[in-house]
Amino acid sequence: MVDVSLRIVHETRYDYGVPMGYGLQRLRVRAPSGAAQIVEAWDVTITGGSQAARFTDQHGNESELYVLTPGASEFVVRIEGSVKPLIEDGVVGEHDGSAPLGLYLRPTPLTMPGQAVRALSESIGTELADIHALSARILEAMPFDTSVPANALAAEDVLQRGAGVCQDHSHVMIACARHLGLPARYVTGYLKLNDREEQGAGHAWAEVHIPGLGWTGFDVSNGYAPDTRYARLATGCDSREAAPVEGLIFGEPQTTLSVALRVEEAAAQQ
Amino acid sequence: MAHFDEMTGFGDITRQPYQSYETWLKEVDTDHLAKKANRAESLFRRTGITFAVYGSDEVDERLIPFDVVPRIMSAKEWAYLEKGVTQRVEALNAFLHDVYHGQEIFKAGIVPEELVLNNEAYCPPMIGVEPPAGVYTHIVGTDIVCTGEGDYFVLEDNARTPSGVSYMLENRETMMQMFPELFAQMKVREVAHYPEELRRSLASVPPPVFDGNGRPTVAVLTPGIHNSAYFEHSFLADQMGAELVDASDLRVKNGRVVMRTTTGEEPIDVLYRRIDDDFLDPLTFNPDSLLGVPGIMDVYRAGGITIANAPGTGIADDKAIYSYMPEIVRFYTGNDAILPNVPTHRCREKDALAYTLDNLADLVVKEVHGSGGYGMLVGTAASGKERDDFAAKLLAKPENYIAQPTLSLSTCPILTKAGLAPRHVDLRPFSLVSDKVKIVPGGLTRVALTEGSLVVNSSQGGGTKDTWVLEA
Repeated sequence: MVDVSLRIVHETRYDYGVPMGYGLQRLRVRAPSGAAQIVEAWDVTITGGSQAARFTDQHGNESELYVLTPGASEFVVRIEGSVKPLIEDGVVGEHDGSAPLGLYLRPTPLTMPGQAVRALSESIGTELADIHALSARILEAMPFDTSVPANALAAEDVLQRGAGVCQDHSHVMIACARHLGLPARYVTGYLKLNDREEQGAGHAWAEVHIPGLGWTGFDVSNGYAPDTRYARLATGCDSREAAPVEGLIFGEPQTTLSVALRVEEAAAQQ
Repeated sequence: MAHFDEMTGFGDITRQPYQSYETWLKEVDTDHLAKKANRAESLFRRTGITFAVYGSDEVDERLIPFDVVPRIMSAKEWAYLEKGVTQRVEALNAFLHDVYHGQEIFKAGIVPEELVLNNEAYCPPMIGVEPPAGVYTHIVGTDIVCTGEGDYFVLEDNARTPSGVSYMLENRETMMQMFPELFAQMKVREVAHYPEELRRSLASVPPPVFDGNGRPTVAVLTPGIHNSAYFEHSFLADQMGAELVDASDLRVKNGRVVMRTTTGEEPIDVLYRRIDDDFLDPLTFNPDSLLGVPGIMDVYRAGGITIANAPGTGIADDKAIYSYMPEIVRFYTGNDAILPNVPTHRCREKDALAYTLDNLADLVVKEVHGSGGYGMLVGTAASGKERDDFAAKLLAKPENYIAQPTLSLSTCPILTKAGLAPRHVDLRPFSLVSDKVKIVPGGLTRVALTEGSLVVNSSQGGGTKDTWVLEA
């Protein structure tokens, strides 16, 4: 195994343009240690808000609720950390945690199967090779296209649109897998792309629970099985439940969102 | 079909609990009762008990009809019901804890896992959450029917936000004003302490953040004045000495949920919410809801507030789950259920569906998620066309329905223009759960005012009666 860690520096800045009154941000930005990775260091710095609640949610995510500092005109989440990935073939393994595996069979509004999802899952089996074939079939039906609107749409809708980004691909994979009777979940995190260190955005992929293997990752957009280039932040039944930052702002500020993300490989500290 | 009558049994006897009442009744004439009934109505108008009925464009506020003839129960009958309801409420809480934690009941093969996990009423954000003192259903309304001497059945559990308790209290107050001589003669157990018990019960389950100094702050959360039970929300808040708030009064601040009051912001320890889960928190539940308190679920999960009833209790009163209640009671209490269920056919099962379709004319068919008597078919009262239309709905989505035999519900006399006449009744006792289950004697008796009708829901033209539990 390559003894490499991923060093991540990720800053998300909401610039509201005006001093804010009341608003909330919910964060899932505490990378977990587990079968997929060991978190070696992880610091989160928040500017522009105070913590109102912290709890572990049903998927095991460390969730935090922040109330915006009254009068502040920006909210900044800065993550700086180092993660040692442990898997090379996408296989995370057996289910663990307080949520029953059956929960991941439950459709959510974003993963509700429709005609297109059902048609795409047609004659797909439930073996590893079948799900890889499904992954390829999804990418073929909806090529990667960053020009689509960024808001989360339902799997059925993005599949009918025929184009999408990692969020859309993951939702379709989850909808199809559940339709096939396999538990599936959404994972947010980071990918170290081979040719660069500055990344435009965080990443997302799907995990499907395959009999005999357990949770297995599928990065449909890239056609990869998540390996040592991947670091995970949060999981959920869909993007809404796994979003690293999820806010509710009152009023109508002219919000500018800027993201600075650097993912680099670093030799393990031994 | 002969119905069991609470006053006269199956024939011309006078049942023991009604003997003093009947003696009194012989001395007064029905004109006297009619005059009292008119006075009662004007009293209700003055106190403002109204009930908004949904479904029509103009929501029309009207009085829930009140009948002056009490429903009377012996101490023995009540002792049995109290024991049975307590057992059932304890089992419901154990079931709720289990489905959000270890899920032993699935592993034991007693309730199918997918029936719970795929149920809309199952609330994933409650998985792993430990509600203060382990209480999920702080208030339960158990709908009970009687078909003969001592033959009680539980028709429905209401474990979300059961309503009607204000009628129980107002009915009693009115009866005491109308008929003081009866209360002097007969030893009727009191109900007026319900708000105090409710307050005590809620205050006994403060959140971990509560520092133990003084009394926990309790507030009642209402969806607002347009809600059908708004009167009850404001009535209970007033009676408990608690603040009545709507979501716009609340926000998350410094790790607490605070309410704006005339004297500033005050953190709430226990929130008696009378809004549905879906509208509780747009950040966790329905993002389109304007009613809720964003972030309240996060504060709850972090131990900063008690929400009563806890979110996700709806899974316990789902009608598909109801059919498993005898097994659920046995699984968690180790004993057979004291109060039986109505035999229930789960239309999701093939044989049950076939049986239901073959016997529609004799069955009552209900939606598993429905309430308030909406979306149900009373086969005996429906026309052939109504039954055919319903059969089509049933076939299209069988898992959405359960079917039950048409029960011969007991009757109780009501005062009509033509004198006393029997009408069908049910009973909803209200249980308060803290470290123990407490039930104010009696509950709300609902009565179907139309001759022969079995639908007692106030949204469907039902009325109410005062319920008397005798001391001996």
